[in-house]
Amino acid sequence: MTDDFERRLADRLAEGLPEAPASLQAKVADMQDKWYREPEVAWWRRLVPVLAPVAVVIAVAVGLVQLGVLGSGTGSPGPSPSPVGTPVPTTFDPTQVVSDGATFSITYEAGNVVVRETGTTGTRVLVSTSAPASLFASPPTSSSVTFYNLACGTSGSADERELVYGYVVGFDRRGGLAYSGPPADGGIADNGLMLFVLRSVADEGERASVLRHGSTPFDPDTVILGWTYEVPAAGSQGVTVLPSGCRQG
Amino acid sequence: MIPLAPAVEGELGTDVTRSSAVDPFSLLAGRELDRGYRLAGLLLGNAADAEDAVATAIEHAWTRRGQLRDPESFRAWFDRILVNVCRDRLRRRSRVRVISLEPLPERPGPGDPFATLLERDAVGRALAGLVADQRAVIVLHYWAGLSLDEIAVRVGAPPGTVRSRLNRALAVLRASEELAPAGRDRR
Repeated sequence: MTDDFERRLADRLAEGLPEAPASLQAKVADMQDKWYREPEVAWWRRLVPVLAPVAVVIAVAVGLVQLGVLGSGTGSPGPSPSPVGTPVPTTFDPTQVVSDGATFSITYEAGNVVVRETGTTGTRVLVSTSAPASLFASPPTSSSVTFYNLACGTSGSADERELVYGYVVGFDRRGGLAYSGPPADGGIADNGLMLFVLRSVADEGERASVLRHGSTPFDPDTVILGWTYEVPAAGSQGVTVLPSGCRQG
Repeated sequence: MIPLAPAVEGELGTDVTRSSAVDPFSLLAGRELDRGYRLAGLLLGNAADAEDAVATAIEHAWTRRGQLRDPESFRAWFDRILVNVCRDRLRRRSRVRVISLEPLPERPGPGDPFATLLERDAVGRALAGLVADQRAVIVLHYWAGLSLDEIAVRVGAPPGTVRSRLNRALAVLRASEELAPAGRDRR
């Protein structure tokens, strides 16, 4: 039964609502363009998304059996756990990134990741957010370099708002998207632009990850703006900062 | 990769090939743009977020378009994606600590149609203050005109849960109107 209040509520919600902006029409047009460019995929490749989870389950089960967690028998005990990582530093010296005349620094202080910006007007804290110490418990090996990258970009909207509005802190570990800290999915700050602090590890001769925009699932097609670092080959000095780019998937 | 399930292409009455002028997904998504934008605007409360949310939902839908078997259910399917995107954004607002670098306005501009709608009276402000799940149910029921069962499909909750969310939210809205100064906020 709908009463007067509910009818008025329905009426007022419908008042003066705008049409979708042209940017969204363009977005749909992008999809159509993508469709034209997208290659046909063989039938067997369509099975990959179906079979991949099954393969993961089997692999995990096999692993657990080997560790003695699953299954029965008289096998010897599994290996002892790996030793805990090195002590977490209260502060560490991060890579500093310069952008638009400002220098950003990232430190880990008393359980918080602190991002500071040093510009012409001084230094100020941009972000202070808690992060698990485990993120810093695995220092890079001697053949790798850890980067703490800062990057900013649009939220993926068709209109490109230029101002940096907010910050999101996330961490990217090599080979994965183990974002941590708020938001857990490595999401986007409200209202457009964002700054990600990415921790990534690259071996000699490899490139550390650039910032990529995308919520879950990770979408590599929506790379936006960032800096890419190339770790020098053995014997070389310095870190190459590759040109930054801005593109939208 | 097929752009949509074969049933969708057949429903459109065309032998969809790469030489077609419009692909099925674009056609279906294009039809839902205005509605999706309004839905997102009512859920998020401002035009900029609504635009971003719809753009994100379109990308998600594109990625998952192979899951859509029946073109008749495109709206419900897209609604569900969009509502999820909006709810994630609303929840994130309360989680993410955003520190502005620039002296940007804290609130949407005066020309924002969604903000204007929501800030016009006590009921609108109360609607904007509802938790994400309750706001979604109110908008889907009273704006989109969906039944509780239809809403349940879109928000991924049992109809009973939807009903209780609706009742709680409605009670909050009613109370906001009753508490508003007489003659000022009432329409």
